[in-house]
Amino acid sequence: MNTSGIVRIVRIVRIALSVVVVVSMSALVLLGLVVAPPDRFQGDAQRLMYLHVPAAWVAYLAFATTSLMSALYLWHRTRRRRWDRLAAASAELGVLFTVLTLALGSLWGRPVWGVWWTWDARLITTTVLLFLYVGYLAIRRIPASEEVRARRNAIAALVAFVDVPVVHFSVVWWRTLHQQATVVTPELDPQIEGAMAAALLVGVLAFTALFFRLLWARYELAVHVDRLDADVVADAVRRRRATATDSVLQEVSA
Amino acid sequence: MTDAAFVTTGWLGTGVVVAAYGLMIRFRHHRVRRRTHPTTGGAS
Repeated sequence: MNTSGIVRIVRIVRIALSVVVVVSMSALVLLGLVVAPPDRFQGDAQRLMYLHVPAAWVAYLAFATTSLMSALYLWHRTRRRRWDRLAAASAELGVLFTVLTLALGSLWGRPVWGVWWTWDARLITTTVLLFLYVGYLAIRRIPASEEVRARRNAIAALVAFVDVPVVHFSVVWWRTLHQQATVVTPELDPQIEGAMAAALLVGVLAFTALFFRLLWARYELAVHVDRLDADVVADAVRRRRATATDSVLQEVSA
Repeated sequence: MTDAAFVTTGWLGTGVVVAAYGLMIRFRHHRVRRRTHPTTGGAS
């Protein structure tokens, strides 16, 4: 297949993904705010769960993607610059969705638990996860050669990922105020059904599609920024060489 | 605050944050393209 054919397919896939995001998000709004009934105990505050749970899922997915891309970069046979870019783009999205997870959980906690924040194992480990990946993004900005920086980033991403299973199993390992798993239970027996389950499922689907669409856009931006940086460096080297050549010629003619 | 106020804040806030992030990427993308393709004004 020639290049224009590939470009056309990529464009179609991108448009299709955007359509899936718009349609699934619209369905989520309808199901989460209109169709799903209020919870028997939590009332309408339960409707925040249709965003909180998908946001948490996407944060896990984003950090898992960052780890996978980092591992691909570290393995010498699959080492490509694109894995480092994808890892960075995914980590940035993971941070965004972790912030949303914590903010939505806090908004839900105030009417249901009576507090905005409590020193609960799930909340603490999630906050630690957020700081670990903010640290990862900060490490990425430390100057070094491209290869050294990418390898350092990859190792940092794999270390940070250790906290993801700790976050997930924190409600099992410690006695917490945060509720236990509702859908993916240890007995694989979902504790939710009907319109509520449908809203949650559509929410997970919509947020997953949104994650991949944003990842795509963020990756493309990273490619262009790297290209621009390379152009700036090449231009500076060219001007420096031209200046050096001019001064040598002046010395010779003098 | 009522439950409805918490729900409205959460849903609207999520929409605003995600939209702002998407627009930020689009704006930066456009700015970078304008610098790498100065003659086309950023168009590909």
